[in-house]
Parts: sequence; C-alpha cells; structure tokens
Amino acid sequence: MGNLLELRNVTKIFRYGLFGFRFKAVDNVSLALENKPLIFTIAGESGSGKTTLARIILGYHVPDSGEVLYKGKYIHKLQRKDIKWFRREVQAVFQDPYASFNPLKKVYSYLHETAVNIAGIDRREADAYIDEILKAVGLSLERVKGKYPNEFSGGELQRVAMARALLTKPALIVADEPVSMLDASLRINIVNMFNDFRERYGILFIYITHDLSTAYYISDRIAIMYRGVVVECGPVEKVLTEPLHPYTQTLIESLPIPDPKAREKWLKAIKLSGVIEKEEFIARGCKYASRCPYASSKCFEEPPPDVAVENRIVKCWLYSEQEKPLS
Amino acid sequence: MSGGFEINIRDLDAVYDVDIEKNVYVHAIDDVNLHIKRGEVLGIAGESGCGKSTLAKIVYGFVNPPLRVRKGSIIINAYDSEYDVISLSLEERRAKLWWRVISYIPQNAMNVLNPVMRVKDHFIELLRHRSPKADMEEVVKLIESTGLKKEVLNAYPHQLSGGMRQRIVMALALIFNPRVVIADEPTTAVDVVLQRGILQLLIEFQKKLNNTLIIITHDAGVHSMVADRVAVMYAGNIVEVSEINAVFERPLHPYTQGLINSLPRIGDKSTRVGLAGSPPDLRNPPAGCRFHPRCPFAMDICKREKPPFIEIEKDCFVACWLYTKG
Amino acid sequence: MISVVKRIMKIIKSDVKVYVGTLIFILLLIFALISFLAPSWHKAWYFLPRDQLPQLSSDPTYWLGTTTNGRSVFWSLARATLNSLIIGLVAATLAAHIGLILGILAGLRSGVIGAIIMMLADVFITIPPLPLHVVLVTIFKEYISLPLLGLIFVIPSSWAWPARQIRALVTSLREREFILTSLLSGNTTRRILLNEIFPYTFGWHLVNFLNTVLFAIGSEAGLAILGLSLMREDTLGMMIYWIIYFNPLYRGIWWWVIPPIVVLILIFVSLYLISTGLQDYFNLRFKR
Repeated sequence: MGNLLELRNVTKIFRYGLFGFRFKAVDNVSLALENKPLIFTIAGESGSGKTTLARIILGYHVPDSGEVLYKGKYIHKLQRKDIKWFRREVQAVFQDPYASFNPLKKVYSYLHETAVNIAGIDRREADAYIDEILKAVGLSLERVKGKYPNEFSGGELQRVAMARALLTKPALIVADEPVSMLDASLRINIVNMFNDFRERYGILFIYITHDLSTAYYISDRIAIMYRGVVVECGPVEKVLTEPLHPYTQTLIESLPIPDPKAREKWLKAIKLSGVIEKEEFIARGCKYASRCPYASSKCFEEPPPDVAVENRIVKCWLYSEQEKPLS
Repeated sequence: MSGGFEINIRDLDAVYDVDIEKNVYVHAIDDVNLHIKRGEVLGIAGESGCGKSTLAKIVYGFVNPPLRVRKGSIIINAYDSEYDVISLSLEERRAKLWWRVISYIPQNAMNVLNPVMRVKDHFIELLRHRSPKADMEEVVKLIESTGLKKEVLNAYPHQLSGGMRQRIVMALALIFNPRVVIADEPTTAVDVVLQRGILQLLIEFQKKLNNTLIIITHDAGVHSMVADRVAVMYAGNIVEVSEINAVFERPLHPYTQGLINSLPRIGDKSTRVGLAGSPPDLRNPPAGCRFHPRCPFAMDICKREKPPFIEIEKDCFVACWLYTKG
Repeated sequence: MISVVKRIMKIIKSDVKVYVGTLIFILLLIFALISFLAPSWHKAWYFLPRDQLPQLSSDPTYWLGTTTNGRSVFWSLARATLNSLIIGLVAATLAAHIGLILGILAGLRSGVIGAIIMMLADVFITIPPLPLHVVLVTIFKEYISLPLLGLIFVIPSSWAWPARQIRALVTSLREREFILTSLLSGNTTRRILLNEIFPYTFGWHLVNFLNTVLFAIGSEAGLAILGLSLMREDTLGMMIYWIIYFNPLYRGIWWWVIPPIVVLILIFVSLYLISTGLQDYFNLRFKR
C-alpha cells in the first residue's frame, strides 16, 4: 500500500495587489503520510504557512509548483467524477466554528447537504444517519435541527462541524486549529475526541496548531513550520523533548509551562526580532537565519538541505556535516 | 515617590444592560472583593465570558453603557491620595488617573495605534498632557529598552510588524511610570516566542519600577510563568485567590482543579479529562453557586445558596461550600 | 407559494416605513392601472373645453379639471403615471440585473476580467448622467418608443453602482470560511452562489432595484422638462414640460400644475420609504 498523502516540493506564491509584494507562503514542502491511522501535527506560528498548506491539501489552493497526491492520484488534476470521491475521502474542520457556518442558514442544512451530496445518503434516510453521527460527537438531531449558528456555544458548534466532517466516513481529516478558539477547559475534550475517532474509525488526522502542548498530547508525528518551510519533522516524542532545529529549540523553551518553579529560566531575556516578517519571507538563505543564535554566513547565503538525523528530518546546516544530506 | 499603594475592590456588582425596560441584563460581575498590593504581579484567570475583562475595565474606570456598576467601590491609594474610581467623573479620571496612576494595555494592542499618525506623534500627544514640551529623550530610552531601534519612531504603524506595535503600545502605557499596569490578554494574538519576549519586558519593567502588574489571560501557562498570585474567575465571581505555587499544586475550588487537570504538558502523555458542560448564560445564571451544574462535588446547599468568599489562609481566598460549614 | 406571500406580508408589516410606503405605492399603481379604462379620445387635444375647474361628477373626466390644450387632467395623469412607472421598471430591471451579473462576475474572477469590469463601472459612475442622457436621446430620437427610452438610461449609469456594490459583497464573502465548508459539503459553484451568497446579495439587489426605478423616473422627468422626451406619449415629465410651455401657473390654473407634482413626489416618497425600510430589515437580519 502506498502513501495516503504525499506532497512533493509544493510551493505556493501569494502577492498583495496586482503589482505588489510577492512571497512564498509555502516554500518547497515535501511530506509523506503512510496509509495507517495516526495523528500528524503541522505546528507553527502565524505566518508559518500551515493554513495555506492545509488548504492546498484540501484542493482549495493550487500550488504554483510541486504536486499533491492522494492515494496515488494528483488531486489538482482530478476528473469530475473523482472530485466527488476526493471530497468523500478528505474532510476538514476549521478554527472558528462561527465562521465555518453561514450565519443566515440553519446549521442542519450543511449536514444535510454533505450527507446527500457526498455520502450518497438518500434524502429520506438522511435524518436518521445524521442523528447517528451526531450522537458520536455527543450531540443529537433534536438539539441541532432548526437552529442557527448563533444559537450554539463554541464547543457545541465545533462538534457539529466535526460531525459534518465525519458524515462521509473520510479517511483523512484536516483540522485547522480546531480548538484554539475554545476555552481551555473544553479543549481537552475535543482533542480527546480526535483520538477516539482515530481508534474507532481508523481516520488519519492532520492536526494544525500553534499549541505544542496539545500537539504533544495527541499526535504521533509532527512537522514544525517556519515561514513556509518545514524545519523539522519526526516522531513527536523526540522532536518536542529533544529538539534539534534551533527554531524548535527556541519554541520549546518559550512555551509557558504550568509549573511555576520553572519560571526563572523562562524569564531570562531573549532577543526579540527587529526584522519585519516580510523580509524573512524573501530571505535568500535559511529563513530563520536572522534570529538564529548559531547562524553562520553560509546560512544567510544558501537555503539549507533536508538532513536525516536518526528517524527525523531537519532542515539545518548544523547537521549537514554529520549526516548525509537527503536533497 | 511615596511607597504606599493598594487597590481595594469591595462588593463590586456590575451588569450589561440588554433591555432596560424589560430589566434584562447580563450579570457580569457578582459580588467581587479583591485587595491588590504594591509591587505584586496579579493574574486574573478564567474562561471567556467569566468577567475578567469587565473587571479590568471597571478598575480602570472605563465604564460605558451598556456596562453599569450597580454597587460596590474601587479605592486606589497612590501617591498619598485616595481615588474612588467609580465616583470620579470621566474628566477627573482622565486628568488624574489614566496613564499616570493606572495604565491599560487592551486586548489586540497591536491594532490600537492610530494608522494616520507616526509612532512618535502618539508619544508627543500623550506627553503634551503633562508639559507643553514633550521630552523625547525619555521616549527614546524607553523604546530602546524594549529592543526596538529608535528609527521606529518615525514609522507609521502599518509599516511595523505586530510584535513591534505591541511593544510600542506597552511603551506608551509605561511612559508616565504608572503605579498599576493592567494588561488585558497581552499575548493572545501573538506567537509563543513573541509572547515570551513581551512578558519578559513587562516583568522587567515591573521589577525596575516596582509597580503592580495585573495580567488578565485565560492561559494558565502564562500565569504560572509570571504571576505571584492568581485570582480565578468563573461566571462573574471570583472563586479562588491563591499564591501561584498553591494554585498549581493544591487548587482549592473544583473549577480550578478541573482547569489545572485538563492542561496537557510536554513530556506527559497520560490521559487528561476536561470539565463537562459549558459556562452558564449570565442572563440567567444558575441559582446558588454558579458552578454547581458542572461541579463533580455539588451538594444540596450548592444549588440553593451562594457560597461566601472566605479567607482560608493568609491572602488565600475561596468561595466554595466544601470549605465552609453551611 | 403561500409561505412566500406570508413572508412578504411579514416584512411589509414589520416596519412602519415599509408599510406606509407599500400602501402609497399600491394606491399609485391602482391609479395608473385605471388609465386602461380611459375613453378612447383621451389623448386628443382640444377635445374638451379648455381650462375647466375640477368638478366632482360621476364621470372622472372632470375630476381634476382640464388642461389648456383641452385634455382631461385626470386621464392624462393616470396614463402619465403608468408610463413613468413602466419606464422606471424597464430601466431598473435591466440595469439592476446587468449590474448583478457583472458584479458577481467581477467578484468571482478577480483577475483581468474583474479589473476590466470595474474600470468600466468607474468610468460610468463618474460620467455625469444628465449630459450623457441628453446626448444619447438626441442621437436615438428617431427610434424612440417607450421601452427604448428606458434602455437609454440603463446603459450609462444605472448598472455601474449596483455592480460595484455586489462585487464588493462577493469578494468579501468569497474569503469567508463557510464558503469552504459549503465546498466541502459537495456544492458546486452555482449552488454556492445560490445557497450561500444569494441570501446576502438579495437585500442589496432589491434595494438597488428600487433606487434605480426612482433614478430612471427622475431622469426621464429631467429630460422631458428639456423637451427631449417623447412628445406623443404622456409621462410625468412630459406633463411638466407642457406646464412650462403653457404657463398655467401665471393664469391660476393650479389643477394642472399640482397633481403631476404630487404624484411624482408620492412615487418617490413611497419607493424611498420601502427602500429604507427594507434596508433596516436586512440590516437587522445580519445583526444576528
């Protein structure tokens, strides 16, 4: 069995305005996910390109170069009949539950449309089927039917979004910051639900977030992104407890831990960036070079290669002398 | 500068009017009592809608309809004077309190700068209130101590990154050396590394000037890194006030316990459980203790009567029938 | 069908403005339709005695008196109302829908096509309408029949403003996440337009339509006063033209001067009330 999802050298360029500033939101990203249920996290700050990458995987953006393959098919070159298949296989949940639904439409209409259009459920049986799925996320049809989005709380609405994604019994769910708009006490419940679904239905989750603690909690593998580039990728235990890339190290160090005794180290002054984000995007060499404590002149000149270290991939010149570079 | 400083909040009760004629309102602040000392970093924690931002706004004196203070008082003792925030008029607050005694860094601070004014003009406008000639040297020193180059003073806000703007707003808040700085969710919209930098700056200034810092955020990790004491709010009430180590090691109130237990930590893969249910609608809050529908220890009395806010140990308060003989 | 009618009734009753406006407009409409009952000679000049005062009789012919050229004010006015409303309707239907289609097109295709459409719209918004109308009417005068007059107002200015508005609405809606949710629910672009975007544009479209009706009627009246409208047909503008030509005001013949002005004002007021009332209604809906 081949890979479930493969990204090969995917690059996406955005520009502001007609003749404006161009930058690579996603720069030469390659990833491969095997066809077995796991939770794969793409982590990064705002501006790292993770949301753009999510939309490319969903087929919403077309990459300017590189390909995306799902079960061996090029998703941006799908024929009409295959598009429906693709929509059944790959679904998504987004960050803001209130933005994910049209405030002028009843929430049930989306559930109904998904069930009838993609899952192929007959209209008359749709209600029963939807009720079943809603129960799996802890809701029920009578609590949902006939209501508009603003009649739900954030947590409930996000569950409805989850239910909508599950209706087609997908193989892959892309969850873009699904819990960052929810309150802390509710997050863990939703995140536990992802784990549950992975075990019960064998779904592969791509969990996109900037919150590394929840990422550690549920995922198996993680890719860290910075300004459109994947800087480190590997098993979550290793990457987050023994980070190799300088950016990952800074990230882990900067995480506030719910343990007051660790604060002295955390409060030690760090160098804040004086560089505007735009300049980092168009940097010639490594995008992190201007903030990196280990940067050498080579880092500013040439973009670093992907280096395999143990069972991880790190994009950094520091490790290229020790191991054979992959690219 | 004289040393005495404290804030005393007594029996504060405030609502948001939804429909004045039908007497429908959101009961945002319910019987809040708090004493804030000089030189401490106080964290106010709680979920969205619990009232922490509202409390901050009222302490600052920023009370506009539909927000209405029904009863209670906020007394600020600073510079050998006593200020009763609620009874002062808007002009008096502006003249005596704001920027000088108490400073407020709002949520999404990076978006509050005037887009058609250069950065230095923001400072000049502020400094003119004190003296006709603005002393730019102080400003330059302050800007540079946040890690920015002094060239940013000539820039327009949209030319700078979010993090830079955040630091500029902080500098604006600190230019008059206020006794109290209130930072409302200072780091929610920023990334982790920047968050660390901003909090470090706030703490550095706090230590240097020995002022009081009130940090409002729902992020427990932030509190654990910077706060000395934490006041936990739920549905308009303060349910627990404890010293920071105590909050994480021996949380008293069931809500705090549930919150601390639900936080995942790196290096620990054990299963965590969150709280069931969701915060109540404050137009119709539950009778008795507002947390009782979600509380695993709810007793009969919790459904009928509100627990009193008692001091269990020195400076340690909790509002729960588990600790009070009812 | 019944539910649609019920909803319309609810909207009409929801706001005083809409209610009053609709009432006035329906009365005007009835008045306009009465013109179909006009006697066959009503267009003939000097058929009736000239400058007769209004008299109440069983025959509506003399209800509003007669004009200086021997016509019944009542029947002329009824016919004029009808014709002006037709002009407004034709112009508005064409303009508002051209604007809607071009606006949606420009909104969805933001590249070259969108830029071209918007540039054209900007050109036509800035060209002052009256001189343009005058030029166009002069060119097409030989070919003018009633509907064509309506078209002339469409081309220059009436399509551009709705196009701009709808396009702004569509470009902002396009980026919203629920469009993506709809896409993932298996909807085609056409379905998305209908289900997701239409509820937002509908309100604007209706209001634009009403405003364009007013604009067209007003433009025709303006042209007619200059003598550039259809001489042979009665429209409200033409009535005013004849009023200026024959100067009844100086002779105290008020029953010819006041009725068309009152009708014109009532048309404007009623449609304006409906338009603003609807705007309030749609705004409240979006506040949810």
